[in-house]
Amino acid sequence: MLERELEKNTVNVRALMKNTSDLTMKYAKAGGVGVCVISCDGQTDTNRLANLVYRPLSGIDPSVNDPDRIAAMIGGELLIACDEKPVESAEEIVAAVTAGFCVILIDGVAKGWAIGVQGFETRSVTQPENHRNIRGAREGFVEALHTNMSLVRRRVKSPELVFRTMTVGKTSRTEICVCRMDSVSDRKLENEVIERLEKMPLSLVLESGFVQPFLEDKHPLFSEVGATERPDVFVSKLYEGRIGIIIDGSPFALYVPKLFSENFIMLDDYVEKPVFALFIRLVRYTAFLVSILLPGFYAALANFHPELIPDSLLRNLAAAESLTPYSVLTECVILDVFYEIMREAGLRLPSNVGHAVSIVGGIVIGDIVVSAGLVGAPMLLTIAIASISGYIVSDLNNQISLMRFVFILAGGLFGLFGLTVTAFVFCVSACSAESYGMPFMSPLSPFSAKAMRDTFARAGWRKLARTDPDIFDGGEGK
Amino acid sequence: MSVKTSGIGTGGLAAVLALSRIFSEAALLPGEYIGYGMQRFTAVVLSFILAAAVWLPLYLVMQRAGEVSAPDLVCGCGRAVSGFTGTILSVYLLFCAAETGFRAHCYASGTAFDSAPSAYFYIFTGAALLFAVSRGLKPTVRAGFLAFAGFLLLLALIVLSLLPDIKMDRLYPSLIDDPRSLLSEVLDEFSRSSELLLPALLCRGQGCKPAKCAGICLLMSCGGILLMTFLYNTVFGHLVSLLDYPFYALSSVSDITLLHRINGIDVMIWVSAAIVRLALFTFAFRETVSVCFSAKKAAPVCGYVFGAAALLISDLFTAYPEMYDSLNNVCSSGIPLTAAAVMLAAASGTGLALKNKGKAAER
Repeated sequence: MLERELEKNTVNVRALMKNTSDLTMKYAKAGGVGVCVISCDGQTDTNRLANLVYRPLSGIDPSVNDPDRIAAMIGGELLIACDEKPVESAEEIVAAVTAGFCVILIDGVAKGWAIGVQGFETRSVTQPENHRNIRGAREGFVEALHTNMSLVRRRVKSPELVFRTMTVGKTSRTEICVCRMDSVSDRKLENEVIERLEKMPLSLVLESGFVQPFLEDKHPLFSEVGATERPDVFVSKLYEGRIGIIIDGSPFALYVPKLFSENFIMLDDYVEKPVFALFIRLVRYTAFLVSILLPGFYAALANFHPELIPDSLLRNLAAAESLTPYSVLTECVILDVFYEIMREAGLRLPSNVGHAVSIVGGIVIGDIVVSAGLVGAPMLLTIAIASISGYIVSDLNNQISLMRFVFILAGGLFGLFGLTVTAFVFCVSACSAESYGMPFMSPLSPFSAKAMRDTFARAGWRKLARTDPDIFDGGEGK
Repeated sequence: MSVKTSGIGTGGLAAVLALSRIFSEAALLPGEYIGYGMQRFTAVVLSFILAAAVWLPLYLVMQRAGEVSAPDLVCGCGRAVSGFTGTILSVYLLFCAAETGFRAHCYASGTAFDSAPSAYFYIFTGAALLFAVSRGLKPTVRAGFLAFAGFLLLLALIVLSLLPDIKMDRLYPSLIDDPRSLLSEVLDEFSRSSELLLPALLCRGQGCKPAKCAGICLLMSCGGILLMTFLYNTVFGHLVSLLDYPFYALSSVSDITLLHRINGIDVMIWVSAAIVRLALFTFAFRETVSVCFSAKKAAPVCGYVFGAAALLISDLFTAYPEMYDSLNNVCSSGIPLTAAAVMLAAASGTGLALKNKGKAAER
């Protein structure tokens, strides 16, 4: 609890903050009473501090000598700032100051006032880097929590949208906002999310990726938590009854539950004609299958089942492969690993250098390894098609890389039989995943005919507008 | 989008059971079993009518009992009856599972998977089975449903690609050519209806209705087999009995060159279906052990032992095909299936009657 003596309080705060260099304490007189304004350097906007705090304080009549009268003026009568809350202990002062508030302490009053004058530098709202689309908004989430909350609120100007903020991380004290649409969301689901966040043992939360594992069920391959950079996508997920989580310091907002089929649905599908959306979604599913299965299938057919390859194609493949020193499986593994190296290098390098690496890796090395006879052109083509197809479903990129590699080994070592057993195991594994009681593979399996209007196909808006957006079937989830 | 949040669903389980049933048809050795001409259609329809008649009493009893499984009802007859019924059921399930493993191996080694030697076929199938059983019934049925969707897609592709090859004049009007062969075909087809037992054992607590599930499975299987028979007859005619696996061969006769190669996909679907079928029999065995022998804790381990035993017996059949033939001769008469169905219906009915009597006495 705070003392009545100003000096004791400031000493306590300074001791709690280990006399850190960015702690600022400005002593002044408000009326005839001594006050101290505590803030954290760099966390506050100096203009707002001057206009909203120093100017009103210096404007108090010097004849007012009663500390309680000054306290009443700051707490109620003076129009200081819209974000104002009382603080009653040194710990509360430290929490407020590190969050960008300034705290006014008055000599003779065992209470302080935290005033919202946050003013740290943030990135402005720009186009999302990873989730681009053609006709949607150009706004993406940024690192500042309150900016992100306003981006969401701007899209739902209704009391249906409910935010609930909390603090996680013993050391970082990161602010997290849990959002939901009141009429469609499942209250039990929200409570479970909040419970998991509260139980999180982390002391440092710097990114949404820190929180994500605590919201997931333990599936080794697929994540049942979705992440998006786009406020419009985030709002559409909330509208379907999901629970959203925005984390201060991360431009990615999370939502639960996430289903497998959502990886193939893009915002652009809803602005195009339904028939085009159907076509493009089928292309995405095909691309996913091609990306994980094609190299393994090629290795299986070339090694074990050449009779399944059409004769003319088989002759060409045999001619190309006869010029290379390695087996089909070895070539396939080498090229796939090489592609993964290039991808990783392209991701981590600055964009200008990244382009150069892509050109050198893709064109120069690719061309040379074929002309030097190290790998066959059909194999290079197979890996290239599989890799490009993988980019179509960007959210499953990591899973695709791993699955492709396993299928290459299974197909190359055990033929179509190995491929079949591996596919079955992956299928069972994906079907065993559940996200907050919801099967990850639904509505494909368990099948829901009702949900098919927005899974492979996308029904027209006239039809979609008449249907319940809620993901929970028959209210079971409520 | 709206999704189901719990259970495996009546339609889902029925579809998977139908896929298992169609697998046992597609993985047959047709030189021995499949006839040619309209008589075949009559045999299929009659066999399904017979199957419905044999399984109907069990499902009528179960419908009256409400949300319980058949072993639960059997338990009401006392320990001796429940143990006896459990033993008979276990032996029957073991034979069905072993037959599945054997047929899957014959099919795999006779088609595109001819590179799969016996040892590694059983090792990998066993590993996949172990994984599926360890994950539970729900994921297995869901994965099986995806394989069913793959089968429908394959069937649609085959039908589309074969349209120019379908010759309706290969269907001649006589429904019965030879009454003795018709009877043998009907019994043979009927003896493969063991999937209809599974809803009675698996539906408890899974959000699906056993009677409805068995009914849907019956209709889907009948439709699927009739369609396959139609394709065999109109495309191959009298050559059908000379082909090892007509459904596999159908994939290769299309005029569309690209679709020639879907027979590889065909094999992939049937091997997946075989693993799902094996897993379903294993789950049914676990339920039997858990309830009939009151060994809930030992049931999971018994399930793994059952799977391993089924694959070992399959391997034994592979080594001694004459042993399989003698067993199959008995089973294809339909006697074991009828005995299992009648015994289970009688024991369940008695159990239900005793339960109702006990309730009435309490009142």
